[in-house]
Amino acid sequence: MQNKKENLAGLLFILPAIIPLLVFWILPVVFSGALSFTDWDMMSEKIRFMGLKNYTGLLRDANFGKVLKNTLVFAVGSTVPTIVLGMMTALAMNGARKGTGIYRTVIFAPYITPMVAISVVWSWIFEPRVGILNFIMRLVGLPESQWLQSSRSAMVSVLIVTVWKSLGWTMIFYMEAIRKVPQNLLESAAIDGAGGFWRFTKITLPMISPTTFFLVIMSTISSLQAYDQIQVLTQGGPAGATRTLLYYYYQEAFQNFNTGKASAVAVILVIITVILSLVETRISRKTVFYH
Amino acid sequence: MRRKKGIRSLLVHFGLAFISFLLAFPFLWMFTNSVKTKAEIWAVPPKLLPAVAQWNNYADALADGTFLMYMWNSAYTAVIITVIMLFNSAMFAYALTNIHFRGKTILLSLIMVTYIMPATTTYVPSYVILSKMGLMNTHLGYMISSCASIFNIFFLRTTFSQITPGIVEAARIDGAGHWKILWWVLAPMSRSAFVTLGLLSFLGCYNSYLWPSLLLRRKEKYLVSMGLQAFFTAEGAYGLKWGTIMAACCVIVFPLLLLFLFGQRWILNGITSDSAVKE
Repeated sequence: MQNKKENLAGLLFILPAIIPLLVFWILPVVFSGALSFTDWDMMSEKIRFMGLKNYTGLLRDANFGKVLKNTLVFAVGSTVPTIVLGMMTALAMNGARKGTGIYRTVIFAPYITPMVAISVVWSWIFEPRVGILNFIMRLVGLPESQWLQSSRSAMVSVLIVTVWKSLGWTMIFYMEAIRKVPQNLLESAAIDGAGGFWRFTKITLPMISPTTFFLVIMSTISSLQAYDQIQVLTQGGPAGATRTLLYYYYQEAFQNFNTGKASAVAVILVIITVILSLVETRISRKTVFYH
Repeated sequence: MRRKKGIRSLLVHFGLAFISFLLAFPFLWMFTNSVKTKAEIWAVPPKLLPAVAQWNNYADALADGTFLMYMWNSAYTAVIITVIMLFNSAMFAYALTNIHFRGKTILLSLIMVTYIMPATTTYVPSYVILSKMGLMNTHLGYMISSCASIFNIFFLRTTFSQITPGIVEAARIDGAGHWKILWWVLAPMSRSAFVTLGLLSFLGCYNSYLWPSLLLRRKEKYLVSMGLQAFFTAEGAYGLKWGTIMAACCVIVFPLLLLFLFGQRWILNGITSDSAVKE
């Protein structure tokens, strides 16, 4: 009797969240998988089963190869600078000790502002003729660039905005991690005559490695979701130079209405994300040595 | 020795100030451009400050009321979604931590798997489901399709599991049921977790763009990011109305910066306790 009552209570308590989750998350994921084997166009009543055709078609498509390459460049190009700069800033914050609150606030602020509004501002900064960035480039004697308007520099420009926005996010994690490095360990190393660089590479860096690992994976996963800045700044152009997997998905699904093909792209995105997440849980289980 | 330390800390402060300036620059530039004349915006070399602040750019941006409407759309949907999310996440988290019901383990692993799925996968089917329900172009459709968050569930689950079991036990002995224990005992004790999640959820909704832009195709339903993007593509191409566009950006961004300024304690704590999610 008691058990039955508990079961009912459990059901009632999960109901308000599980209904939207089922309808708008769990079922759609399953549907997407199924749609990826069809040729549906989102309008017609007819759906034909296509087998693996959507997948083999993608793999043979040269455009898709370029999309994958762009995605990789975007993932690495946003993750590595965000991590390195975030770590350096956090180290500096830790070194300064006092009065860093204001820096933290300012550096983190971009993270909470809407990507669309801020991308609009950046597009004006990047403007090749009168934008402030090219003015600064001239001022310090660097070559000007066409930034968003050339297929050679568009990706870098989008990456600058992305790194600018997420730098504060990694910094916050690193500040927390560095604060937890045992102070007495660093001090006794210093007494033994270890220099700052040695202490950093041999003590701090290994101690914060779980955080680094976590951030690398999280940042890579979120780079796979990047859409807003690409939509505002380049719409995937010029000439497909900034078309990433997610943007390609959006175009195929909601501009070309190749729902089947788009779902195949989504499934590929899922596979990559799941692999990354599995690697994350696997390794973080092994390497977390303080908590 | 002392002096060397002083110089070093000065250098570090200098470096941090410089980085902060670089990061704040787009905001500053956005603001100064929002009060420039067209000629000043187009000036080469760029003018840092306008001769006379052109506040009329703000009047232009807000004149026909569409931006205020977009902001209202974003704000009210974000508040409703946030409230629903806090409610249903707390219920769910409570069930996971304090109710012994059948199928809990399966449920938990299902939720875990769903959590790592990119939202992208759900767009096409969710879109179809909403249109079958006749909820395209409605805020209701947007809200019900965004009103559950696995992150929030895991976050509150961790919060609740850290509360001493004795407290729940005592309440139960006093005759309190699950509903009462959750809302009269656990929730008040986890106030700061609720504030954190409330702020994060609100920001997330207010800033969301891709999903609402697929659903809400009519102008009067636009959320703020969509409205800005539409205004930007319509007016920005020839750079004629940059002052107005920047003013609109300021109107959108500054309230959020203020919110962050006052809520940063909760926001930053919430973000680093992301470990609530992995376990």
